[in-house]
Amino acid sequence: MLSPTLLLQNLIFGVLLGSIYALAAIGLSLIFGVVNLTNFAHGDFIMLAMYISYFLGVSLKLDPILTPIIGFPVFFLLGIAVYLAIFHKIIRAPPLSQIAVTVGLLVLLRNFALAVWHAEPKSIPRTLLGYSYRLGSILIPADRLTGMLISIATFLILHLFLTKTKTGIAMRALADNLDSAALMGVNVRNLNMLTCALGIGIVALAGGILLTFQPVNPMTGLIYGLLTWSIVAMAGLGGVSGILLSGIIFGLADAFTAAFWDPRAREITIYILFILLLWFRPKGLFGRR
Amino acid sequence: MPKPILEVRGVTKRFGGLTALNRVSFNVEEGAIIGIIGPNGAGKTTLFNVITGFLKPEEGKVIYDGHTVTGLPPHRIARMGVARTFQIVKPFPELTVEEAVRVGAYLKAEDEGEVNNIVDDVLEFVGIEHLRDRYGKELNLIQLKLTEIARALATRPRLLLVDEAVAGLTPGEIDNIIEMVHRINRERNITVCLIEHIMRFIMRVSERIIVLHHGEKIFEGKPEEAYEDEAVIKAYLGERRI
Repeated sequence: MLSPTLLLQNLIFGVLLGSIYALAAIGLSLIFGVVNLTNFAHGDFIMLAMYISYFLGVSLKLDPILTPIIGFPVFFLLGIAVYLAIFHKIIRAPPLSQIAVTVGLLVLLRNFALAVWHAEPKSIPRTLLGYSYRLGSILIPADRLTGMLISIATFLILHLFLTKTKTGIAMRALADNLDSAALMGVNVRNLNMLTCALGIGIVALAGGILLTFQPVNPMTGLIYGLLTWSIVAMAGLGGVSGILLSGIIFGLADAFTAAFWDPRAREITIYILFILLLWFRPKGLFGRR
Repeated sequence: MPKPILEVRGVTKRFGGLTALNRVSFNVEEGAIIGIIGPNGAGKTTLFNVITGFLKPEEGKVIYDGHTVTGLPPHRIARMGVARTFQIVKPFPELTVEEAVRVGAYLKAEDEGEVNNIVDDVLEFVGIEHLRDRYGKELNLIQLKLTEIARALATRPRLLLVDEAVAGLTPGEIDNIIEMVHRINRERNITVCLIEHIMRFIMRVSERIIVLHHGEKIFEGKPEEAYEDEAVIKAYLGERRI
């Protein structure tokens, strides 16, 4: 049963899936690292992004992969609104208070989705990318391949932004030391706001891609919240490449669990990985704190 | 008499029941190097935190270059020309020395070319060009302190506040810092305010010192006169018993 073809097939699945998971997690990592905010509602922003994709897909007859064209600016503005209304007031609060407030936000988002879209899973059958490329006996689904390309492009742009631009370098300075950055003329409030806008905006990209191959229900935030936090914890704080690698590790775990154990057991694998990680390397694999 | 670049007027800062600064007033003339000394807990760092906008005083105000700056956020005060280094260095571990200095240079520079010029100039002035591509987490204490000075200078300040620059340094490194403070003052026309614990250091750099004790100014004048002042001796050595 452990044929080389099956192994290679799941290796490819895992890498494709993982790079999309990484895209879903990068916003959380940015907000955690730069704004210094422990956001437990991140998974539910992903859930909301998937519903928004669904809504745009149904009402405008848009392919889900194209919905981020509208979703990104909407979520960018949502990030600003959430920062000003909620996050701004708790950035100096202890982590426990931040968790309490963002869990409140999570409950709000979850029940909002339940009220608007009801409990049964929603999915979009109409993606143009519902086919697969075939390399011998290996299948490469076009939706996930496109997702990976979008993800890698986003990571590349983010990397260039953070290392080559004035605002990007200031963001990294802010992540490293708030006081020093402020003294050097960095406007902490505006930069925090931009980070939240960007972090939540990118969630819209991930949501659109995820909806091409996964249905959404109001509890979707639970699994993605756990997944993205695990990715961030494994990567540790540092460069964006750590998130990409760590996302791929979780993607591989996911693919191999589904293939060789049971697709319903994926959460167990994520949990076990997460616990092992906290046990042996609480700083993360690639990070500093 | 040259006009003051910094005026501190009756500043009071309380933390709960503790009065960290009690109606402290003094002026700093443009172009001077002044020292602020005092025993532990005298309120020196609190004073810097008030001047740079990290703390808002309960009473009094800080006037920089003719403008009241009390209550402005730190980045606005930095933009007006006030820079600072910290007693316990606050480095950027994940930024290279060049990037760290760049953050400061962006404050006033108009374009990338000017930013590059400022970065090159400041790194050379402080003598850390060879550390350009090293990350903050790879530097030792003196290198971190020099990077902080470079970062501060890159913002093109007119007033530089230096909080305990020489704590933990070797005598050779201290000489290096003293020489640099003089050069910053003379060659760059930057007014310097130093907080210091070590009396010998302050004697060698500043023409005028202010002594704080329990949040109050107990002396202002020439450093050599401070040695003879009753109140200063009492603050440092305790009450004389007869």
